[in-house]
Amino acid sequence: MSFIPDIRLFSCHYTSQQSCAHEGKELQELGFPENVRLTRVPCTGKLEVATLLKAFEDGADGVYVVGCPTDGCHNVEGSQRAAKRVAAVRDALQELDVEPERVNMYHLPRGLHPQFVDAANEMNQRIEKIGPSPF
Amino acid sequence: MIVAERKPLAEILEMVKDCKKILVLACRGCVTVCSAGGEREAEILGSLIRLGMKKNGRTAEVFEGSLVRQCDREYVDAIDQWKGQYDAIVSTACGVGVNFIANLRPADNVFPALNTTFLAVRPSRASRANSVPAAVTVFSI
Repeated sequence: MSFIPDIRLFSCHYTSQQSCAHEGKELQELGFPENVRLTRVPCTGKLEVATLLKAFEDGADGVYVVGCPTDGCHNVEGSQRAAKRVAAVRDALQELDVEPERVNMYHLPRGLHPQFVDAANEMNQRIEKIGPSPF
Repeated sequence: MIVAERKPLAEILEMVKDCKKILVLACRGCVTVCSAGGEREAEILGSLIRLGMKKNGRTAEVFEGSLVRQCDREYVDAIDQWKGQYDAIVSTACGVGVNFIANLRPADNVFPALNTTFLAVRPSRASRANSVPAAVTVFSI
C-alpha cells in the first residue's frame, strides 16, 4: 500500500524568497512535491527545538529545515543555530527510539534553483522508505 | 550556582507512565542559566513526554508552567494556580527545588526531571572582588 508522507519544511525567508514568488508556480513546474508543507520563517535561527517537535506532534512524518549557507547567512549565525537545534531534535528522536533521519537540515543558497526541489524530493523519498511516523 | 542536566527520557517516561494530567514545572533560577530546566527546556520536555506517551500507546494531558524559583517558599504558592489540573508534577528544578516542592506539597506526586551535577557557593563578597578561586567552596556530586 502506498504511503504519502506528511512532510513539514521550515525555510528561511531569504532562501525561499524567489522559490515562492508567483505563488510558487515555478516551484511546482520544477517538480516540488505537493505533500511538502512549507512554512517560511524570517530566519531559521528563530526556530526552536519545541517548534520542530510540535510539527511531529501535529502528525508530520518528516521535518526539515532549509537555511542559508553556513558562511553566508543573512543573519550571520542564524542557520548555524538552526543546525544545532535540528541536531538536538535528532538526539531527542533517538532517545524516543525513533529514526533520527526523520529530521534534517539543508544549507542552500538563495534563488530559485533545483537544489531546493532536490532537497524536498530527497526528504520525500527518505520518509517514504522509513514509513509513517510512530507518533 | 547549580548545574544540572536532564535525566534520560526513558526514565522520565517510566515515572509518569500512569499519569493522565502532567504539569511540567520549570524553574526560572539556576537551571535556566545552565539551559537544563527553564521555560524553554520545560516546553521541550512537555513535547517529548507527549510524543513518548503517544508512541507507547498512552495518552496524557501535558502542560507546562514555571515558578520564579522552586527553592523559595514565597514563590511556591504560585503552584495553586494549577490546582486540580494535574495529577503529577514533573519538576525541571535542581534537587533542592524538587525536594522543596515535594515537602510543601505532600499530597502531590512530584517527579524529578533533572540530575543535579554540580553546586558551589561563594562564601563572601570579598572573594568575588579579589577573584580568589581558593575561597570558592565547590561541591561535586
